[in-house]
Amino acid sequence: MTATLDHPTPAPPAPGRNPILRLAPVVLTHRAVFAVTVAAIVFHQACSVGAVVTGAVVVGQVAAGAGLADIGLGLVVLAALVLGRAAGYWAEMWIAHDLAYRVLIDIRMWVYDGVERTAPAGVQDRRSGDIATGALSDVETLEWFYAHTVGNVIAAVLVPAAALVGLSVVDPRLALILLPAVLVVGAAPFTLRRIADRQGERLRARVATLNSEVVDAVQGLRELVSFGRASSHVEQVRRHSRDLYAEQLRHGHRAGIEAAIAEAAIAAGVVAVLAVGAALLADGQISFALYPPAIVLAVYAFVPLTEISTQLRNLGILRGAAQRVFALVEAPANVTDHGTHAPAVTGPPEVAFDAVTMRYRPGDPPALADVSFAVPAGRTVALVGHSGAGKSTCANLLLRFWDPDTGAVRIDGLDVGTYPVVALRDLVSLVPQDVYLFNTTVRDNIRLGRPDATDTDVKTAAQRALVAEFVPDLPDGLNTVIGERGATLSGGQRQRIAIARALLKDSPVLVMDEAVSNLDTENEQALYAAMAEARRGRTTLLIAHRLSTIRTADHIVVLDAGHVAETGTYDQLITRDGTFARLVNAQRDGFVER
Amino acid sequence: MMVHRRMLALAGPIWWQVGVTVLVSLAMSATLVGQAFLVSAVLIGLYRGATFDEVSGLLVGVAVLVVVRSGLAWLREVSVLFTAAVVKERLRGRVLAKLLDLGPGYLIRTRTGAVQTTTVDGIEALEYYFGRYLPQVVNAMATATFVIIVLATRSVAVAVATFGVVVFMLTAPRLWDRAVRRLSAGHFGAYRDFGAEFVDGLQGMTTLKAFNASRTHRATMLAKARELYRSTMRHLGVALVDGGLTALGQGAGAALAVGVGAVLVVNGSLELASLFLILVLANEGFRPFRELTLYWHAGFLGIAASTSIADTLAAVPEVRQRPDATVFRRSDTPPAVTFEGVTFSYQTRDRPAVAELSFRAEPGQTLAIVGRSGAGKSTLVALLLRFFDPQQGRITLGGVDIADLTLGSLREQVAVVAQDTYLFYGTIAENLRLARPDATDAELVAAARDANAHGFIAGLPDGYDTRVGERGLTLSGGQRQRIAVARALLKNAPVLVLDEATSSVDAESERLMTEALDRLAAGRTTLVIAHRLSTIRHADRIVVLADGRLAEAGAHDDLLTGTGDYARLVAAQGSTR
Repeated sequence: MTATLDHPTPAPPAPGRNPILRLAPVVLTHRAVFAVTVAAIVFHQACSVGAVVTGAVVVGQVAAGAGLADIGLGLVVLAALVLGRAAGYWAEMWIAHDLAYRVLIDIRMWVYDGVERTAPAGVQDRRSGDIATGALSDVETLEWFYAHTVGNVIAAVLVPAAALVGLSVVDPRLALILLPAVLVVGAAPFTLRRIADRQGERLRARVATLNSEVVDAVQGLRELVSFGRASSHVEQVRRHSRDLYAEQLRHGHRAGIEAAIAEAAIAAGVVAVLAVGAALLADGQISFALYPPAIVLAVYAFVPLTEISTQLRNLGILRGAAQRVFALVEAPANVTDHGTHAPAVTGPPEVAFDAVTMRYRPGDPPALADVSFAVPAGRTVALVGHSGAGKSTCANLLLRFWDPDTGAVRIDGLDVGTYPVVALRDLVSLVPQDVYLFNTTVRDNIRLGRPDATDTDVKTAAQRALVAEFVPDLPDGLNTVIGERGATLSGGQRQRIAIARALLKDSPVLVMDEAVSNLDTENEQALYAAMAEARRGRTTLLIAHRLSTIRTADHIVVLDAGHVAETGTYDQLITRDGTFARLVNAQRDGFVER
Repeated sequence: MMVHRRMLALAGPIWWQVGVTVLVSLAMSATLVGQAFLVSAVLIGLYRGATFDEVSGLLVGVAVLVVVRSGLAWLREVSVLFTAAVVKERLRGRVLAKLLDLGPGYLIRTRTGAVQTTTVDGIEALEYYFGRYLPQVVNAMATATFVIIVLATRSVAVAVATFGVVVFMLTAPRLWDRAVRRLSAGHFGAYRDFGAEFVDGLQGMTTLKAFNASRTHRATMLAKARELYRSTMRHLGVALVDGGLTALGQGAGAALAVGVGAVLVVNGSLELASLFLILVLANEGFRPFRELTLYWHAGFLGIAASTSIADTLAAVPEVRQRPDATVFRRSDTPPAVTFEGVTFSYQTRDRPAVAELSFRAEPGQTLAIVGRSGAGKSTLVALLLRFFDPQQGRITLGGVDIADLTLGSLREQVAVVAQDTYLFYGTIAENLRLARPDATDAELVAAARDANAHGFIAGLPDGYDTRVGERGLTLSGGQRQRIAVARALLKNAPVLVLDEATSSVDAESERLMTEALDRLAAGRTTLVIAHRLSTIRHADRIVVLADGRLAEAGAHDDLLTGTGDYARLVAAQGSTR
């Protein structure tokens, strides 16, 4: 239709138990289109039944001895109905699908918003292929509901009702005898509903598993190939594929039984009308001219019903898909964005961890236990410790990916929770350990935090982070698309882009998580200078492990199994025989040319 | 509409699977046609003034056909899914095998989400085409032909009119075929794009949030979702013309038969009994076309996906195994690795990544390759494993050109510890067994101990049975790399490649890694790609690369006294410590 697509995404439906029922109200946001859809469906079905009935009426007239003039009108009506039916088919399909695919845009965005809200906590334990199934094929499955179910249910009530009325005009007894059959056909898809729901749930879950396995195989193909395990992994994917087919076949068995019930009920109804009609006719209670139309009405009363019941046989799958979609849409946020205090940060603020204790899951050992330290405004604190000591957790809390169980992380004396999340993340730039680059240009990757940055700004950041050094080697310079996760770049190059990103974002607080670790020596030295420059005037939390990095910090916090083991300056700590000295000794052993 | 050669080519020989469904569908149509004969006989009987008892036998016959048909309805559901499963299984097998064939070199240029949608959703969407649509084409044609023949025995005029409509239904939609093909490819393309973008955004969501860029990315996703809507509707527009013409034909066919028949009866050139038959039979003759329209529509994403599937199957692999390739013969001593005048450029890049490069790693010795980021170091690994083939020169293993070896046996000889290690969704033990599926638990522990990984693994909640998330993101970089070392130990290959293996580990881990790597390198020919002098120090020989070319080569002490790149690299590193 002509309506534009530029409407904001409406809010997802309110929580409820039945995922199918929750899908329905969405069409009400497109009320007018939905009304037209139902009208088109009814028109299409009415023309269909009308054409066949008119044909039968003409035959009845001929049987009763009518002449050409008598059937002329019937023939014209017949032709009009045939054309109307084709037009009705086209209109029904077009309008219903337009509505359906419009709704799918909204649902896909709900899924995106759900993922956005819960990441990283909500998605880190789930497989990408599983979640992607939710946004793609689970949502696509809902098209059945919007294009072929919701409006058709209405048609499936109206058309048989009209046919029954038509029959009762011929003789009420005919309508009465057909009624049970109509009800059975309508009820058939619900007979095995609980089995259908279970099957649908399993079926969609298996599609998701298959997707996850394919994603794993694609992203890990290098490993699979070099370990000679590729064919066995493919065999594994095919096994999951066969599991899916087995489930589909089980679904087919059940759907087949329902189809058989519907088929039998339809035919029983038709036979009953034939028989009763024949008896009434033989008895002289109805005229012969009405007999053919009565039979045809009996047959066609079922057409919209059979069509809808074919759709409803897939109700279990639909329910499974809807359930999976809603689970993503409704996943609770890991942190609530209730902050209202707009930060009035002029210079670099002070960052403080105040008796912070945090567990990722209840029952886990604490990732941080009663951790307190402060990063004075404009200074750099290095967090040092073994893998798993809690360094990255500090970064996660500062950016509010998680909230502490007790204690608080403060910026300028205020709990980070008091700032709106967007404002907080404007204050803090991150250079993460696992640099994630998007499959777009170098320029857009650098501009991630400031989409409105000018080319000059981007170039300056690229120069300062030494991205400019390798850009001339790329086929299209800054406009080179760098492949998924930056696949065409080396680790050092990826790291430099991440640093340029942070430089361009230009926030007063900087978090560097094991940055510069992938750089080669010559660049590393130059980059240190750039980073020192970038850190000037910023409050920096440095998750560091290289002596060269650690030394540049004003203050060092040594973490050990979630506790603060030691704090002090480099010179203070190196002379103590503590955790830090042991770490440093280990590090010294690893290097030549000292 | 109707049958598409490219779709058939995709599925391969599936005659008997489709045949089963065709037979069941034909049997169902036969019961319907039979029922039509019986019903028209009832009509004729009653018209001629028969009593109810006289037609009751015919009604019993109708009831019997009904029972048979409902059994067939069940059988058809099952056979449809069986046919579809066979086609999908075969096709998915072919696509997956093809992806392996194309290898990591191809996948570097494609997007995960795109491959995923083609291999899973795309192939699933073919269910309707092969399971329902294709058998129904045969059923519709056969039923229509039979009905036309029967009609011809009563009235040639009616048969000709009906036949004309069938011809119209077969030919008219062909005019749209080209548009359907073009727009359907665009439709699946948009679906694939949305998938690829979604997966990328999903995996990078933490970064997006940290940079407050999730709103910007949302705008991209919204644009892709809208583009998907638009291209779906464009495809649907032409697909509906197809369906609409068939729907028109179906209605027009039955109406025309009845209309022509009625006029003929009025003219007196046809007896009324025949008209009853025409009334019931013409409807049955066109009924399968109605289902055909439904199936055509339901399978429309599958038709859209077929181009993408066909393109994947037709993609040319980066490397091919020679037909006369041999298996590498291991000896007691590890093999030498040589690069002889190797030049290689990536497809999309003008400048060669590696140019006229020659060097030799002696058996059992360690050769270090150093150079700045982007100097071509990692490309060497891809070439050694034959993810790509060089445009010039050759690489040998134990004196044999690696291009003469089977890909499997070549890759068996080389273990790689890479800078970014991919861990699969599964337990630690499963990830370790990737290298040796039949390794015992004791062997796993031994390898993990040697890799200095046992300590942290034992500390995990379920030890070796702890699940690691996709890409191993629940572990730190250092932990992932020690698992990679344990894998390499288990693989026990005579050639070892360490590709910046110590790059992202913390101080304590680096010591553990260095120890582990020393153990790993013993008795193997080792290529170390590194910038850390700590890992280069023990190398027997060092090769320095600059812009893909050999800048200098020699032992550490020799190079150090010179004024070349290496001396500068060392000086740079030294001064930061």
